[in-house]
Amino acid sequence: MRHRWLVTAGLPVVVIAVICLASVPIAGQAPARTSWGDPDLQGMWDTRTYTPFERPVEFGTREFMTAEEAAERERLGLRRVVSDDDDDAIADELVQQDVRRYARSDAADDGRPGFRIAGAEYNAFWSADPTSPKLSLRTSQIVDPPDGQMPPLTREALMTWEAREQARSVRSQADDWEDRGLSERCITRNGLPGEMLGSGQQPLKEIVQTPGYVSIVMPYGYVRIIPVNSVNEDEPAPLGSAIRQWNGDSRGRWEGDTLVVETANFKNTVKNVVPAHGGPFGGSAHVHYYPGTGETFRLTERFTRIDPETLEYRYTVHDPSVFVRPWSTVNYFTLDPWTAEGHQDRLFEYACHEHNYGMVNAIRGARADRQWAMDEAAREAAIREKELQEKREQLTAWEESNARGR
Amino acid sequence: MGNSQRGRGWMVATAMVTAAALAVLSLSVGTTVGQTAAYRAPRLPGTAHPDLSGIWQTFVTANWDVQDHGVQAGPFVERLGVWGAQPAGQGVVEGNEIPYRPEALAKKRENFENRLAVDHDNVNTVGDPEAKCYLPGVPRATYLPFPFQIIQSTEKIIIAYQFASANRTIPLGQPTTAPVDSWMGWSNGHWEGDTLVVDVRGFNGLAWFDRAGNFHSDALHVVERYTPISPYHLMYEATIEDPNVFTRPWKMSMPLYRRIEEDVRLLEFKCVDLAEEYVYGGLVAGSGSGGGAR
Repeated sequence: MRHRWLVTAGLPVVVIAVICLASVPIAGQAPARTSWGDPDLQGMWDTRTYTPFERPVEFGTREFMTAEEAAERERLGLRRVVSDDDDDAIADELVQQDVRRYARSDAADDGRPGFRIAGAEYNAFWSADPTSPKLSLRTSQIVDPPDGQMPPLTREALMTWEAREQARSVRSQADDWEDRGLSERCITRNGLPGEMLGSGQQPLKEIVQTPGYVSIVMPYGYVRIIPVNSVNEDEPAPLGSAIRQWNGDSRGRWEGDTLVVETANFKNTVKNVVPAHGGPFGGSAHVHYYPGTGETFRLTERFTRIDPETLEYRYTVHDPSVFVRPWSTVNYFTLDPWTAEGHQDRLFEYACHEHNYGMVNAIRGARADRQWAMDEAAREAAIREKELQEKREQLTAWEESNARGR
Repeated sequence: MGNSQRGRGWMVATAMVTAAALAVLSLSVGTTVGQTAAYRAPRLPGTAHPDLSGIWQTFVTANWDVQDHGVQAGPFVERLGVWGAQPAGQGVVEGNEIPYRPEALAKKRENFENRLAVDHDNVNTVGDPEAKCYLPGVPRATYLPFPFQIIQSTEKIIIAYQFASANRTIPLGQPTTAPVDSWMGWSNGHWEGDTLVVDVRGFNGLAWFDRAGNFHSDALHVVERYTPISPYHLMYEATIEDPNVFTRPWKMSMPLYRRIEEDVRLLEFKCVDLAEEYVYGGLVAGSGSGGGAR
């Protein structure tokens, strides 16, 4: 995963932030309530994280790193923050970043697909980071399995992946729109739960509540509306299984001060989408699980405001036809200081599909030079094949270790 | 669908008829609805303001044409029969007249002629944006034949529309100005008695009012008024001002009906994948690809 953080490290700032997040809910401190008595989760939340998705090998089975290790990672540039209030200095740095990006895109093609535009497709401005989220000491977002690694894909999922590569092999990069990924087509970003985590371009989610509902304004052009049960209410009937949605159907309940959200009825994207970039199920390269087969995917999320400025966000993916076992993550959302200072009062409109000139150009380009578009598609396929091979090996290793365990 | 579902549909239909009758009744009491109406809506707890939260929908045919319109065959009658036919409908425009500037009226007619045209070099300036699954703008989002949900909190209100997952955030504090133009515009809300008044500017001028080609420019200024008139109805009013296109401001109004079915949900209508063949299909014609048919 590539990160594009602004440079200028401020060590003292980092250390303070680390200490803040290492804290657990302060005993006896009643969380804020809405005027109708629900736990108040409202606010503009910075949902980025600097915690690696899977645990880097050097941390072994350790769930947390030390403050010294965090500082060392900071020094190595694995996490960079702006600690400078000087707007001119930030602007200068953005300009320098653009210079470096364009120099890279002008360099000779090294054979990787998309190399010449990677990193230069957006100006650094779009990834500007006027504020910085707090740093967690967690060594990985994945906390279950305990090794911090995503569990292997099932044989069934690998076969689906292989079948789709087969179907894809006769197609160019953009014979038509279905050869591009869901995100390029402006259908979803990473899908749930991937897009609950922010990026440099889209760090924020806003939570707005009303009696009986929690809504999450997503930066990707939709609102997640979650009906929430009062303790004594009957569970509302779930949607019928014929109703399948890109973002599923979410139902919430309060468990103490924690909002627990169960989502099912995801759309079966395996049937609908020819894979493009990334993994077997569409979406971005680092989100291989979206959204499973749809038929069997159930997502459980838990939102807890552990202090006035921090929302703990946990999710568990259950998808027995895609993963050999369920897996769970922990992240922390931080109240956005930029909003608190009055600089922002809402998320801006996404309008991705309305201005998707890139799709017109991609299809035209592929038709103008189909051989080139076939070559590019083959290069993309080779990258996926490498990934697929890794997944095959993971499954084999898992099966062998299970056999030994018996 | 099972019998229970059908039974529920019947109940809903009955409820709607009852609700409509109530609306007619309350409307006939006085032509001025709003603060003078006797109805007092429940408050959002902890606030002095009525709670407008809920799933709402209009029952007008204004998405075909905001003005009076007669029955017309649909665009592909040889394939679709009466699916897609335009029903007759009474307009929602006060006085039924839209005060176009002469050159703008010509543009409206051109829009109608080209309403189903796709121009790959001008994807978002030619043809009805609705057909392409583009954001519907304001006020069209209100009277599309889809429900929408109001989520009212103390500091701001969210309106989520089923069509294309369109949505708006309406802060109730100090008004702010749009940093850049957009399809759905930049909304600022405030209360006038029990009426929610939403001032919307900052439009990009690409949205239309209806399938008849009624349109506006990026100078559009909309003032919407949402007034509770019964537990099941809001009166909706939109004042339209756009000196580039109209010679004077004009107004439309219609009731919003609460969707009262048990467990009713705002479902997804993310329509991009339904529109791709229409928008991009012409680019691949003759390639032998079935596009979305695969």
